[in-house]
Amino acid sequence: MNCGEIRALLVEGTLPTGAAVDAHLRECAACGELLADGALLGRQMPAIGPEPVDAGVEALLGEMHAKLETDRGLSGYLRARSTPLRLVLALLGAALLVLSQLLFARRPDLELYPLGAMVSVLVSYALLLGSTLAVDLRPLQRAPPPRWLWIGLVASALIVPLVIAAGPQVHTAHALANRGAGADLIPRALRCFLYGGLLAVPLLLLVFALDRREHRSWPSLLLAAASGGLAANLSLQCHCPITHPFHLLAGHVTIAVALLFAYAVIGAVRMGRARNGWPA
Amino acid sequence: MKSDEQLMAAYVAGDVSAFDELFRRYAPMLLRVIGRQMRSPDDARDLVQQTFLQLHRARHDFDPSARVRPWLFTIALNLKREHFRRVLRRPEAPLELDGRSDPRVPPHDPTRSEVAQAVRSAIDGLPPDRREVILLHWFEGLSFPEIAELVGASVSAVKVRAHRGYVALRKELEPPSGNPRRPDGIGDRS
Repeated sequence: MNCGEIRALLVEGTLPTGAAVDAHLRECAACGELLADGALLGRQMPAIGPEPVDAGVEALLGEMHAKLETDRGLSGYLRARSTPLRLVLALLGAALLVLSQLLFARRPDLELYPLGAMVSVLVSYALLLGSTLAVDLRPLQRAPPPRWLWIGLVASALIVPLVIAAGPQVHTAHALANRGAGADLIPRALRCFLYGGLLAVPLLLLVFALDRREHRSWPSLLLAAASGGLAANLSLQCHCPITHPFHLLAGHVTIAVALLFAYAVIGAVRMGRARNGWPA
Repeated sequence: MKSDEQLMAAYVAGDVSAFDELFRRYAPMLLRVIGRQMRSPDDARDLVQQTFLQLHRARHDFDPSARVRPWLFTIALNLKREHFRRVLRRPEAPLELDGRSDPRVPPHDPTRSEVAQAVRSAIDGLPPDRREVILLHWFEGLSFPEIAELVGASVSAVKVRAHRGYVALRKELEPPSGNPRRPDGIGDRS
């Protein structure tokens, strides 16, 4: 006797008895609960009858085909790539951003910038960006990331640029190093904010195209925003010669803040609509 | 008849009819399993469609040496959890009965309807992991090894969840002392 046979007897209204039942109950505590106390629970569970056979499966399959038809084009192609390949594509996108700055808009003080400091900043941003993308593009057949992980990554996307910006000024050797302080603060900061923000847009679009979710959850929205902020700071690190902390805080770090705020607003609006039963 | 894994391999190779066959095999079961926990049939249908959309998008992630069923159910259960987090104020909040009688119970049997409502309410009050196991064990008739594979836990963990779930249900459905309720249909165990 097994659980299914005991269940079948209870559903047809027969109380399971006999040596075979007793032998099963010695090994199965769950069935023991169903039959305990005069089968109190086992008598009541069958009150919820079998679900009616859904005659609409073919219609649902038809709707499914229509959905699959719309899942074509470049984004359909990208979303259907394997997860390792999607991650590589996202990282390549970030690498192209950095390369574009190094080739066409390199910071003029690169030779004066302490090598150790430059390497640590670039490696920190790259590792954090890679981790954020890996968690954001995680496939749905795997368990969702634990809360501490995605919150930690989003917080790090704010904290790491903040720490880098607020630390001791790496050098003042170049004429442009202290631009962006005093009266020049806001215009220069705004310029970098807009430039870095625009640089982040292609990566944000790429991450959107690679994400397989139909409905984005809070973690995926905020991780995407964090990726954009990190990519912007990484690119600006290769472009902007101003090392003054005020400029870095006002013009570079604020990009991540703005993106996180924007995505949080989008997420709140969408979830409010979902709770009210409106289309997302 | 082709196995699920053969169908999946065929679909990855481009055979659309293999997807249709997988859909016909698993959509009804997923509709039942998910539907019991959703506010409306439309939500359940939407989640089932999203599950198969994810199967389509993730087909190149599928490991040919793995089994399709637990892979598909993991996607469905993860989507269901995300749905509850998005739509409800608390994750996996038990659904409140809206006072309508259970449509699956004959309308001329009010006692059975009350029992069904009580059982449904008790199941809805279970923690999500125990509720899932009970739904798969009692309503879908799956064995514990099958359930363990679907939910991604060990067999012993699943058995513990089922036992604790049934214990909680029995306590919830116990009549007040001195007034044993005897639903129709089952003879005495004597």
